[in-house]
Amino acid sequence: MARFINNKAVKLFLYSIVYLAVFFVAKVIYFDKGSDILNLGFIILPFFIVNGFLPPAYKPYVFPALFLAISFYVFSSANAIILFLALSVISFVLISGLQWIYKLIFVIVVFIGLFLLQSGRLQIGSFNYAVPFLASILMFKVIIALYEFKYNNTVADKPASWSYFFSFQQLFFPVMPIVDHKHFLNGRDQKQGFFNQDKAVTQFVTGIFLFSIYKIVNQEFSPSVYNISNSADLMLYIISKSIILFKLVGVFIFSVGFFSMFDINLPSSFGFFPLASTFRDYWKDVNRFWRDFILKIIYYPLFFKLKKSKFIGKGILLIVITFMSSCFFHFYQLYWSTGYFKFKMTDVLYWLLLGLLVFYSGYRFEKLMKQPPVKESSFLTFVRRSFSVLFVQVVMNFLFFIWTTESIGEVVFLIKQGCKFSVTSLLLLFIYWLIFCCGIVIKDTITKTKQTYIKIVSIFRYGFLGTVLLLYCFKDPQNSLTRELFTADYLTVNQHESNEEGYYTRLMASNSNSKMGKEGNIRVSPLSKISFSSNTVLRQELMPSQSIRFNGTVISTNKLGLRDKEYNLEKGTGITRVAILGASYEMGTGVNNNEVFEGIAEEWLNKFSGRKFELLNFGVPMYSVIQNAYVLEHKASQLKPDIAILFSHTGEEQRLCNNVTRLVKEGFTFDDVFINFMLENAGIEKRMSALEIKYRLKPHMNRLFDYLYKKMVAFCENNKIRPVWVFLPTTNEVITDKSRINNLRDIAKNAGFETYSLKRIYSNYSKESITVSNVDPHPNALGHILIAGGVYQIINEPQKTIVYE
Amino acid sequence: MNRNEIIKEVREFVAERLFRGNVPSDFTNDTALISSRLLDSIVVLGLIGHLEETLNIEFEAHEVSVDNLDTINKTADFISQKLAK
Repeated sequence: MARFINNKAVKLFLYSIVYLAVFFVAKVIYFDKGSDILNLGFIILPFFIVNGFLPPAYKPYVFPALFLAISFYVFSSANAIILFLALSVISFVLISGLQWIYKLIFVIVVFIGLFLLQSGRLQIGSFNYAVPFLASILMFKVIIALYEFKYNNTVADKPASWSYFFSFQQLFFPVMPIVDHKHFLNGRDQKQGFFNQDKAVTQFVTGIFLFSIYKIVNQEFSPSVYNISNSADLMLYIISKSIILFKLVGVFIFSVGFFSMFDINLPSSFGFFPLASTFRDYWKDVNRFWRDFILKIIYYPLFFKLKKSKFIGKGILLIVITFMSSCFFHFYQLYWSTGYFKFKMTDVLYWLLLGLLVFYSGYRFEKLMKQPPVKESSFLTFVRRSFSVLFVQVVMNFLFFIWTTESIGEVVFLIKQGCKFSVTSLLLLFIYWLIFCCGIVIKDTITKTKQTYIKIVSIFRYGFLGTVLLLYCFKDPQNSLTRELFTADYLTVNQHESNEEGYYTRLMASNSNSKMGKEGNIRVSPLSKISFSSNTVLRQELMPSQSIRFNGTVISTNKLGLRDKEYNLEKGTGITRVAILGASYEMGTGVNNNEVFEGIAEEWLNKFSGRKFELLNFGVPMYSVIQNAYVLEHKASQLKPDIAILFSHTGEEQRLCNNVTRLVKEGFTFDDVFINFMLENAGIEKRMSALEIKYRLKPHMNRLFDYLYKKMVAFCENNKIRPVWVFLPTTNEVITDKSRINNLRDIAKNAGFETYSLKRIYSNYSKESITVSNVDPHPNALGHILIAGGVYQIINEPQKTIVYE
Repeated sequence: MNRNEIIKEVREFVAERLFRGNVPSDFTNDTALISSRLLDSIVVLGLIGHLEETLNIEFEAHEVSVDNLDTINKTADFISQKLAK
């Protein structure tokens, strides 16, 4: 039996089964946003089997071949070939014997080209969609390669060096730790066999485990930023901000697992940083590959430059420059991965404070090492250590909170909000301390002996995998644990509404979808391409008579600046005109001109109602009720509509709140007495942080809705227009909060609107079948047909109550 | 200075700065120092400063790497080569 299991083919088969189980579990817990990991697994596994049989000399060719195969899955064929060729040429030049200075010039030219493509100044068909992937793969690798080749331009193992550039994982997890060129070459297993397979399984399972913790904790425990009123609320909020680290570390470890799977043994990418008792240890363990990169490229060269300097503060200077470089490289990473550069003072502050803390911690360590060891009981050592861990983690949570907050003004505002002391915060601190005590005991037990460690890791590896599989097979929809674990949408209401921001949130949301490279699967607003700035409350309006290709669809506007067919200004006799007022859902972001629900409903009404209708689409992305009230009075009224339908969506309150905040921040002067009075009453000023403005606006939202709705109804009554208010849910059901919708509907009803709800419009359809893509939740063509059905009934058969109540 | 003397010098430094003189029994001249994260950047640079001073040699930034300094033996080999040049 043992001989049978040790047979290479059998082992390869058994590991393939384990990997399939791993990818299946990753799929069902939505480890990658597109949940394509299992499909990708079927591409990866044949290469894994081939790799197992290949002699070492041929193994370096597996990575590029696999990269090409996955590229064909992720991108269109043309883009896959261009991407592969581009990467091949760039890597060939870098590993060639060309003089270093020419390599440098070549890299600069490449990045200028990437910049032009990334910023849209240069268009190569739909290849621009693949640019973030190419840039993410290259952005750190070229720096490392250039640094190494500067001192040793002779590449000993060219195929291996070439394969370094083809990290195929970045096609589905663009955010990956920076793997050093030397580590990659040294880690290649020269023996044939299964050197790293157990390690790979452990890394995959650890990644899934950490991600599962993130999902469950995030859904259970994610306080709203708007509910901070004392120190306990603030503490909970600060701690909750760090939860995303579980997801980040999970994705990093999982993606490194692919290296182990293909016999590349890299050093561990993380240490036990959540149990670090000094800031020096925290920085040492939090992201080792990143730290190694910064040390290699910035810290050591700078140290040797400053070594002979007599400047007294050179130690501090060295640390400040190193950590500021780290900050810069984060901006650089964000730009290439997401396409936008966003300078935030909170990022700078985070890195500066972290640098100073690491410096101080290093200084203390140096001092401590010069003193004789102090003898104390193991209990005292434990207590001392646990408090050190608590202190370091609380400070790091606070720094992470700074990093993930939009501005220093917001940080100060939130601290002010949480200034009121609450005894609960002491209890929270005590619970936090207990958690660290348990963590220390577990860590010490696990790492006591190597044998125990191996045993525990082995039990964890297969035990956790088996448990998740069992939970999935016997999942109970009523059980909160399985519901939270196997849900696709794990952001909470608060996170959706506050449009959770922060460095890693932005980075990981950028293109962490394996299909994003395909045209049509990227979520961006079409406004930048088809709108013009306006100095009214609208801020942006659609340009008349334009036609653009956007994200795989055609968006055209008529001479009136509506996304619609041409209409005469004068209404024909016997025609009922309906003004559709709304935002991107109504304009039809993500679908073609002929697929927008407004056009479909118009066609059905004219065919089946026996009357003549003209539905006019006034929808523009980002508009909320404040813009729609303006559109009704100044634009729609010119076309003499008989019915005005105002569409309201999930999160409408937040949308209006964000819109007013943006207008205030832009310095817009409202020519409306009520709104000005409300802003004054709420003490809102332009100089305030966006968060503070929203905080102050929140209590006034009902009044604002009431005012705007009443204003719209009054206008309708004066112009003989039938005012209709329709609740159209977003495709994202998780944020459907009944009480809020009912509240809004009551306000609308009270103001004089006919109110309808299409809340069951998507019933019996999966989210995937009615949305544009996994990253773009706008309704697709099918979604629009469903909405058209609802709109048809509202206009033609309002007495029937099939889809609305 | 020969290889053995270099090993002694490095070992003494590591014993002092890392273990405060109490070297664990399983610590050998082949124990990984940098890749195992036993030595961090501050101690590595401390070691380099110490070696530069005592052996009258000069390091360059790119030489601070796992290839050259990961174990006591590797460090001794690297310094021997450097001294021989």
